[in-house]
Amino acid sequence: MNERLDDRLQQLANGELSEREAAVINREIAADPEAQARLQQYSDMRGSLEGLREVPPDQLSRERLRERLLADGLKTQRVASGASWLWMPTAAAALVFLVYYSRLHSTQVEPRMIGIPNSSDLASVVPSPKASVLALPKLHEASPMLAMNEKPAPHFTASLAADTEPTKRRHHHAHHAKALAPAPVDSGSYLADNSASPTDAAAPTNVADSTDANSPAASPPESVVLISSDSDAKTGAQQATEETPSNVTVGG
Amino acid sequence: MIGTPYTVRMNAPVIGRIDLDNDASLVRKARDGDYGAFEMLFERHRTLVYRFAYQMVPRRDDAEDIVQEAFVRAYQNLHKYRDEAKFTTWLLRIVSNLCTDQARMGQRRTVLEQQEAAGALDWMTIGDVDDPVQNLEDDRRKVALRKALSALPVHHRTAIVLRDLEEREYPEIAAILGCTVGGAKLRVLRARRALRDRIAPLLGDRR
Repeated sequence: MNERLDDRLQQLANGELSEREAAVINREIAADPEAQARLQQYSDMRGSLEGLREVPPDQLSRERLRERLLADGLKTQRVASGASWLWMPTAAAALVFLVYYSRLHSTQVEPRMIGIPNSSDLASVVPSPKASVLALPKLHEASPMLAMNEKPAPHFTASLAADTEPTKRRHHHAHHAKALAPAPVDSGSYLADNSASPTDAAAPTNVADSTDANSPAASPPESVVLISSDSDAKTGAQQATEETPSNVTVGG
Repeated sequence: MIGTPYTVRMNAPVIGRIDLDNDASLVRKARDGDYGAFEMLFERHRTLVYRFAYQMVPRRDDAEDIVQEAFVRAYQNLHKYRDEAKFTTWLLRIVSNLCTDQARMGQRRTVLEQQEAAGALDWMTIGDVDDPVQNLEDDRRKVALRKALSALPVHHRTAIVLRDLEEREYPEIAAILGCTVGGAKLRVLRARRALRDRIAPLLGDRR
């Protein structure tokens, strides 16, 4: 028996065909005992299923449902974020990239400290033609970068020493005290203008020196400014006096 | 000014309109936080839902659990319910999904039920009863038939329950199953065939 006929027999047994369709299929299966038996099976099945429609009474109640809803409402709500775990690999990748990029950047961009020999040493290592040596002063004037490269080593060392001079802060205080003190104080040579100090005057004058020309750290201190705790009666400012280091006892 | 609403209401079938309006208005109230309205929906439809659930899982406690879970889900998802569908259709769809989930989780139990159903059918057909047709009315046959129904795959069982036990129309079956009307008819036909294959001994070798 083909499925199409089986389907039509089902529909006939369940009353899903019109009268005309039912008459047609009844004529078709009149001489087919197998089809008639199948139709009878479906009719029996339908009758049997009708017997299953009865169900026992339920014991559902509003209270039970309310308790269930309350229990659900008291549960901790889980954050519905499907991509919450993505931050970890993303952060790890970003960290790796950052470290790699910073190392790459540092190796490519950061200038390396190479011992720059004096021009005399350079000349001994790489003999250059006279034309280049003669052109060097012009390059000094045109390019400050080249001038910095040509800076003599002793002066470079002196600049570093000046930057790390521990008395630099004291100089600043001295300037400040000078500005605030009402009483005339003998400012001395280095307080007036450091560029006039003998050491700076002796330093070679190049482009690099121009940045350090006004730095007070370039000259060693020749006097100490003492700020007294007593304040002036008129202005209320503290008084400052300048002494030579030999007259000052530290810690006593 | 006041005639328009009455005119509209007079055109609708009264009984169906009242039920539909009540369901819709209760759903709206429940959405607005009126739990009493949701309890009224529960009282109104719990028998319908329970019947369907019991046919799907023929254990009363399981069926009650499913009904309760269905109403809980309905309450939690009331904002997703669209008014153009019947509330009962939406509710039965939730129950159908729950039954499907339970069937997937209870594969082992289904196997046992199938074995048990086969045993029951054997016992019914091999026994010393002369006329098996008469036993179709017997309670034990009902039990055997229910077990055979329970042993069907859940999609077949759903189709048979909706059409042959709950006597739902095909458009509503299609809405519950989430398919077309033609698809619903096809599913019902296949499900009946599968059930007939299982209970053929019980239906009798009618000569």
